Amino acid sequence: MLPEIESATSRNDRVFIVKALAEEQRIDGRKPFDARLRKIQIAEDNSGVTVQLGDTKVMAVITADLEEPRADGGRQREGSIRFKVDVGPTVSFAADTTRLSEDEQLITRLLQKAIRNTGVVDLEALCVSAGRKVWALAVYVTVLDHAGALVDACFLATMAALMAHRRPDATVDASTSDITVHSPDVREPVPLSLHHTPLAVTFALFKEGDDLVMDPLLKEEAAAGGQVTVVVNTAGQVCAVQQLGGLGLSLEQVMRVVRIAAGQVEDAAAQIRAALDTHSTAQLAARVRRQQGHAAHAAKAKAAAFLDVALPPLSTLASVAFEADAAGPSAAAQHQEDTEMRMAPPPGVPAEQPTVVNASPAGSTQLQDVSDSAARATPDASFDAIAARIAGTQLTSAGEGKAVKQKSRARNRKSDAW
Amino acid sequence: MDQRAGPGPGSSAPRRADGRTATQLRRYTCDLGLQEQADGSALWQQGGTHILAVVHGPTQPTFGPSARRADPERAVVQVNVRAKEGIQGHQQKAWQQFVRKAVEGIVIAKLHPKCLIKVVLQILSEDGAVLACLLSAASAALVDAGIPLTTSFVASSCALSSEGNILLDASAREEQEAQAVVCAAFAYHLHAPHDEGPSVGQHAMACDTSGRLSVASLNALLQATRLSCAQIALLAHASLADVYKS
Repeated sequence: MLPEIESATSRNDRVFIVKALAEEQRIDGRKPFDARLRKIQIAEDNSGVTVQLGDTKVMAVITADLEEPRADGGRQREGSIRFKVDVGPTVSFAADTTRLSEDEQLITRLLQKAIRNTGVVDLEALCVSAGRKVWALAVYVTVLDHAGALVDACFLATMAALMAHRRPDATVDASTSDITVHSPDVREPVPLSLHHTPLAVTFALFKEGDDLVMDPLLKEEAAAGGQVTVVVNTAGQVCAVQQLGGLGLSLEQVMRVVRIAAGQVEDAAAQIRAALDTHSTAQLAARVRRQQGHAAHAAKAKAAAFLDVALPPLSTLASVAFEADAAGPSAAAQHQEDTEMRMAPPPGVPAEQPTVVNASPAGSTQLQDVSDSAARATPDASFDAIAARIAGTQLTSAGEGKAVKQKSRARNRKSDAW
Repeated sequence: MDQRAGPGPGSSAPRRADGRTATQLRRYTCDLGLQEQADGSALWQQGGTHILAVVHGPTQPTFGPSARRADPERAVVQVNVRAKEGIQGHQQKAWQQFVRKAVEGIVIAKLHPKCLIKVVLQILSEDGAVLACLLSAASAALVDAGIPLTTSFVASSCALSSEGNILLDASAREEQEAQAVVCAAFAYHLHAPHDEGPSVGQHAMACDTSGRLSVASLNALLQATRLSCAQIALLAHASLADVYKS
């Protein structure tokens, strides 16, 4: 376990967790077999999925490349799929990015066993030209935040990503046997063909295997004597069982665990399908918008909360630099007085600031009068300097910001550290 | 980039592929404090570009290459830009260096000698203006972590289309087809006593251009970027205010 996770609980915490479980209470108020809230978000270009299981956040991205098939005879017509799990440095400071940690190895191995070896993805459908080119899928699972039940979240993300993934369509010319990979604009990308949907459910074991807790939190995992992960598909078939830790499970417990897991997996799979449905309708709507022409949807676009920035015409902006030279000392003096050129806030913007954050109609943020003030604005001396000195393309002028009082108020979490 | 000059109801401005006019920014949100174990975090979503920034620090560099880099007089800033697929290409490494220089400029490093401030930027999805979002997210996460800063900044990017129009907040496709793209970060200040809202300073904290453009165009693009940063600063300020209110 990551060192920070091991130290996530104190002895008091562990004793309390075990005692509360004796009365079927968990520290976040759930019952022993309640799952946390699942949220599934699919990327716009179908390349990946981000899922949240409570506070555990995992992102899965799938890439497809054309490669030569494996050399053995039987595999000439099959594509391949490989997994890489990465507990990223966003999780904790101590995450070592150079080597695979134990967690990463275990989860990768479990994904391989339960997804690749049980034949979830139809590998023969990934063949483009037998013996020459096949699709090789790579699944990159990145853990963004670890708050318990990491395996569950990784499986949820991987399966959702496999279901959402669309690979480019490739055709082989019969006569010349040239392979053409069509871009998404030319031909609709093709979904993967999946045979079944396995998902994982993790249980933490307490008190010699008598008390079980489903979908454990980080603290519960640290306080538990052992864990068991069951991978079941929607047809009720067991794809993998992995038990770690010292506590033994009786056979009745194992059966019970599999039964509970099957129920959970059905819920989770239904949720993935619902998320995919909403995603595909949204994509369809976006495609219709693109093809039908934008004039018809200008009104809708206005309501989609694009923010307007009133920009003076290009000629005015471009000529500001040259006016400065002509205007000379008077401009410089005016610039001195108004060293802090603030955009004159349009009437009503300060009152509406909270709604700017939350998708308010674009009409409320029209900075119409800013254009006038900007056009009359004092020429910007620092831009002239930059423009005059331009030679190459990259310019990094780090920090000459005005020293301001950046008060971090009492909300500092680590205030005692410094 | 697809600018149709067809008249839309109520507007005669030509529209881009996603229905925006040339001067409209995409919808964006900034959420602070999402990660449990990090000192500061920010999720910056601008259109289709989502960046998760996580800050750890100031803390002790006890292992790995960071221990060798410990400086007895100031804090060392380490930035890690992670791509979606987890493999870091040269583009991510270049962004890493860029963001590190920008962040080093605002962090008051002398207050934490021999410490390490680690900023991890995870790209969740990309759709144009990636460098600008990286910078804004890094700054928001630093503020959330409470690291002493001289100022904080927001960044924005504009593209000069092949027809010579300025497009604010260009998407990935527009950036590809553009003549030149400029990304710049500007400091923003909070006028707490008068409560008139944030404003954007005159000085560019960081600037990155790509493509060929005339001096006049560069000037115009920088001005345009600054104006859009002023708009984005309102959001950054609002999200910070929300955190303190709750």
